[in-house]
Amino acid sequence: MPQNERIPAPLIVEALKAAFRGQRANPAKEGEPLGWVLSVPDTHQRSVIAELEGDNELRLLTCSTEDEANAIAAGLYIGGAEVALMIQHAGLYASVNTLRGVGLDGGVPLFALVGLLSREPELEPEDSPRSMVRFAGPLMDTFDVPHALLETRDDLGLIPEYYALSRKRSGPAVVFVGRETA
Amino acid sequence: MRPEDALRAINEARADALVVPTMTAVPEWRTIAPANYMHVLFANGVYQTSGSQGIPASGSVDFAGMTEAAGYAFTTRIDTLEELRIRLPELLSVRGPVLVELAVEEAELTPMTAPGGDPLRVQVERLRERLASGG
Repeated sequence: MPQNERIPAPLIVEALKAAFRGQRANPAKEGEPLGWVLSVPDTHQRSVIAELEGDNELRLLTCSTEDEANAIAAGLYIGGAEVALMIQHAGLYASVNTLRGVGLDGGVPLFALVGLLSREPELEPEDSPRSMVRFAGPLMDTFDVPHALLETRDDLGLIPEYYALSRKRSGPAVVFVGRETA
Repeated sequence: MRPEDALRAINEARADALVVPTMTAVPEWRTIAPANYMHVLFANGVYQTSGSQGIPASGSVDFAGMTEAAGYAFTTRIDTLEELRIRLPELLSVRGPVLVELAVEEAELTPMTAPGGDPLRVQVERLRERLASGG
């Protein structure tokens, strides 16, 4: 795959489904979604949001804020559902206290796809002149939240891997989406 | 009414949930529209634990009206414990989402003056296990 090729949205949706299936003890019942995706719409991942809107297996819920998305994810987890967040790096910064309180203190496995809007593809995120991009990874390091960078379709396995990691650790895990999806 | 008495009345009526989310959550509840969701808002009008400073526009915010405008199926305000006891059984049978704004006094005990209870992590797992077992 050329380094500048963007990941097609359907592949990301399939990776989310694989992540959910990998954790479910039982198949989804009639009328029950395979899992939930809580979105505070991220420009970087807009093609994925559009793909999810037409998906029959996953339920997409647009949230008002990332704080609300974290809290709803906690409720869904407590109720036995599979759930992932799709947010933007700005929202990660905005909701870090909820991530700490709910995810770390509450031991809730919050898995998030976080778009690195305006990230320069030729640079590593930590070398970006944009503070929003540069500090996102170190911010997660500060809270001991494992994170990885999704750039090409070869990285799609990171989604089920980090989803499972969030469950195993009973805490947050993040996959940064380093390029706009197609 | 005292918040402790209101809580006791609600527990006696076997309410499933007692949630005070932020206003940003209101449109989400409207979207999900769970029929069995009753949102009880304890409105004492102050930030009690920091010294009882008034909330912005204290006393003039109509939470029931705001949530009705946002699309809750039913909203109401209750001012006395007696009214709460009388109306609660009916409110629990109303199709949700429902908002009940309770006009309460300041609580005698707060998490600041009476800390305790299990850590959040323990509470989360206990509730998760209870729901998984159908309890």
